[in-house]
Amino acid sequence: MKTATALLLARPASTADRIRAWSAAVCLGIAGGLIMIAIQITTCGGVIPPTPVGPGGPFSATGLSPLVIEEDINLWIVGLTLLLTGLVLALGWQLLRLGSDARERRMTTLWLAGATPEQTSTIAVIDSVRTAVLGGLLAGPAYLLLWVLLGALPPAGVKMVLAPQLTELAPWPIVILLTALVGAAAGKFTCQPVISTSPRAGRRTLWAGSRWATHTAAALVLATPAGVILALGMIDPGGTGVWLFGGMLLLIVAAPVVLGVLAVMWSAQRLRAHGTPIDVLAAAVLTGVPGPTGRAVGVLWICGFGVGTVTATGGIDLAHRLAYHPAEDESFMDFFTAYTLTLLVEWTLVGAVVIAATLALSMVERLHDARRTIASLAALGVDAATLLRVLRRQLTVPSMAAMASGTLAGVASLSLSMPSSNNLPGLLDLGVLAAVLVLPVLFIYLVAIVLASALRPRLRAAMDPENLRTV
Amino acid sequence: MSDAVLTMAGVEYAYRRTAALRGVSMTARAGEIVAVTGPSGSGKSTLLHIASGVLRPQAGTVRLLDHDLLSIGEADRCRLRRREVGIVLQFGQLVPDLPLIDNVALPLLLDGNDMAGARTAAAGWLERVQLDGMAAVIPAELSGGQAQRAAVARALITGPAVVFADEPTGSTDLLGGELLLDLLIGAVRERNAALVLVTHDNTIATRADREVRLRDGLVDHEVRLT
Repeated sequence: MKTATALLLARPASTADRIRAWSAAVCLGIAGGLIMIAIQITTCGGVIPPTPVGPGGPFSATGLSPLVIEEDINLWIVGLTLLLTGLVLALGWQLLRLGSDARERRMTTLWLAGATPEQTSTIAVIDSVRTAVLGGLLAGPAYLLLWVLLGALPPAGVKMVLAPQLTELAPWPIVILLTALVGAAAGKFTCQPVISTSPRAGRRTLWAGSRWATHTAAALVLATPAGVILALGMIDPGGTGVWLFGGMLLLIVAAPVVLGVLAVMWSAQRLRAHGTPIDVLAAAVLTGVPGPTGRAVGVLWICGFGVGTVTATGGIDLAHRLAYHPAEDESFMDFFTAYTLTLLVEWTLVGAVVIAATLALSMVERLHDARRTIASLAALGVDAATLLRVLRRQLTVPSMAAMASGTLAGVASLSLSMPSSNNLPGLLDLGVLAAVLVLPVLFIYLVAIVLASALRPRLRAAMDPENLRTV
Repeated sequence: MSDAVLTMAGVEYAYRRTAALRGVSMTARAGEIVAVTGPSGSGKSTLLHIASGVLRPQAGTVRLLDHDLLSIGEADRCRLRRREVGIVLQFGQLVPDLPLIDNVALPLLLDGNDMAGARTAAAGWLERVQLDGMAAVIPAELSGGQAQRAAVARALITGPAVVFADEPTGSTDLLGGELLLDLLIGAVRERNAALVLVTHDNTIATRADREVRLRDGLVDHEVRLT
């Protein structure tokens, strides 16, 4: 196969494919930019001595927030930035995997036409690497944009990063190389053609018992060290940051890989137990193809974990400050406002975008993958309104559960591992905790309702009898 | 039997616990058209997929064009399928979003031929299957019959010694089906290739030289028609 042929066959041909590739590249670019920001924040920790807080005055000569300057907190900010990076990367992964059913079918068709497994693999790798390199190239502009948002626009004392120097762009080529490697791995391991099973190309197989066992074993393998790490964090409060940081990274990997699919299968069982026709149909589709929703659920779990961690961090810090400063101390309130605003606004915005995008992607992919089933149900007399409710149910049930459990896990892991958590002055009492849990879950529900209405034309397209011909 | 291009002996295959083939033996010679018929679920498609190297049998032997399909690797089977075998499946199996001309040229492109030459050959085949002027069209914009004709062009572009067709007229109307079959049989006769045709339609089967009828994964009977 000549290079020109490989490039031709790897080219995203349809508009939807091009949009997917560009969106994934943008996500990878933002993730790369965040990594560069994290590197810059790391270098600020403890290097620039903090200026004592004066009433109404700047927090330091550089204008940087004490969060970045103080060595103890610096690690947390870096950790949270990396958690954000993980979220954006997970969204990028979602986008790379979007339409994977169609891609598998494409690869299998190529294989049937005589492409060897090596050739199909090469084509898949070229497709992913091209997107990933584009993402790496976008990391530079993304870094500059993030600097404007976090370093130029915020007032003195709230800035998270300094003005970029030329030397701070040094990690950019490394980011490009890393994204290319990630792209190559994604292409190699996720875009395999369905070979030597059935020539009915791309038809995904139902989950068998063995896959349940594999995923459960994988979940245990990943959950055990995460549990040990969190336990060590509680035993050794001095090393909390490092332990929790490791636990977070492990969770970022574990959630999308295994926890998501298990959560989907659990949700399907719950839905089936309800016994209403809509729930039973929703459960059937979830069980048939749990992958796309599983990945979305994994991303939402990390989102919830982030929301829980940030809220708990804010709560604990406020508790500290209240314990050592009188409430009427204006400078303290300025500090806290800056602190919470920076973290909460950042997290709320990014979290909301990631949640909405993840749900939208999941629903779009679901409509595509299940179009034959949807067309069959429509042919049997199921109307659009019912199908819409089925889609909404299969999305909201696992997503809301993932968000709630993720938030709870985030709050619990951080609160329990903090040595001073017993000093909380009632901020994280049950009422606040309930609000922290309910708000993101409610947001998911509302987004799902809006999305379901917005995607009505796509549902009508999926109901087209023409889809009965698709394999 | 010296001119046999396909020899299958004692072939068995099961999907999990459901046996599809239970010791099938058959041959196809150069220039011969063999219709594999039988009721739904009798193992026709599985037989075709094993004969063409798409599936590996769980027992028995398969020799295709002097290659023992069980002893060669996946990559070699792909190469064999690309260079010396043509396959037409029930739904065309064209690559979505790839223009028709590139879909037809695909086996040549995968084999390392230059794009211009492959496209010229594909254009010739598109004309022959009466799809000239549709080179830039993508499969989603084709009717079932047009997609099948494109699939026939793709199967024949390399000048294969054996062509396998699984219900090739399955997604076409009566006239379209006749046209498709004429094209397929004409091209096969022209180059003295073998054609193994899976069908449940007796009218189509009568155009073959020999009929192999399957029932419950076994050869029920064989009839020489010409």
